[in-house]
Amino acid sequence: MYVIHSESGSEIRVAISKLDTKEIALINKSKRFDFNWNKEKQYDVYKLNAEGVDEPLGLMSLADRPADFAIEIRLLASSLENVSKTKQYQRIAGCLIAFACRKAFEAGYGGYVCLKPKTELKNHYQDVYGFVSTKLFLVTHGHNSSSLINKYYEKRDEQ
Amino acid sequence: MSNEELAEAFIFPSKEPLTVKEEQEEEEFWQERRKQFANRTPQQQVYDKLLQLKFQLEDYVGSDHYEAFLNFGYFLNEYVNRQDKQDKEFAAEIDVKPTVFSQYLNNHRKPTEKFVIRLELHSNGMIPALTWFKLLQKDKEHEIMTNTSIRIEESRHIKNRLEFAY
Repeated sequence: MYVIHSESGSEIRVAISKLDTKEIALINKSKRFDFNWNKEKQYDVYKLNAEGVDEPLGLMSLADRPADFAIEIRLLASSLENVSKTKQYQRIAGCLIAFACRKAFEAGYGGYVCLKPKTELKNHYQDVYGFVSTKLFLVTHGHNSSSLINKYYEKRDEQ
Repeated sequence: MSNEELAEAFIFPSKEPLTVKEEQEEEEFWQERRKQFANRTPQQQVYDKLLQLKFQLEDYVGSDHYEAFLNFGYFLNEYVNRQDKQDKEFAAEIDVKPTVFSQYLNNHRKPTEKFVIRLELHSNGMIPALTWFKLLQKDKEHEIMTNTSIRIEESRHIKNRLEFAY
């Protein structure tokens, strides 16, 4: 799994790991991410780190819903320097979404991942990640989730 | 910031609280999801179970953690069972004698390169031969690290040992 350094175009390997409540509080205090992440402490919060870069580039909060056989992406954010056209690294959100899809296969949910987006942004998630729209949610599962995993987990020259 | 830039960097819900109608729609959504999961076709169920196995296997071979029971035979058995197939039936599908296949399942015979390639081909590339090979390698690494009897045995053949401290 890799992100792309915008300036050089080079691929940088990334790893995603779970944060404990102390780490969430520290990251929230750092003000490097939008939103109040302390509100996500009861969920599973993950950070995305790139090799050779100290600070995390992305955060994501997941709600495991075993009774519904689903993983819900509650919140996802790139760090402040990776927002807008001048962002330093590309593919941060895609890597985190692919990670959620992988989790949803591992849990036996058939890769079922959903999110409740802000209405105006729905089209983008559908176009870029292949989510399917229901009234309130966007959904990916099965082959689409598997394709996202292949796209973001494989190295470019392995595709 | 444009909507596209926002969507590239974030996923976040609307700040507006849900209306009563939306709350009802949400409940209907989850009901529908549960129904959809229960009504998966047998083929979908096999697909889901095999991808689950693939990722479990990849996670295991990529980790430093070792569990004796998570050996080649265990994952091979899972691969067959999750397709609802009998061992004999599966052995025929990859052209291996049932007795030999049984030895692989029980870790009584080291799988050949050809065998793991056949597994990759059978899964249509879903589980690459390399992943199976890494699993075998992991078993071998553990054996080499922990095998004291072979060290005692092989000591007899060593002369003029280096005496550097390290």
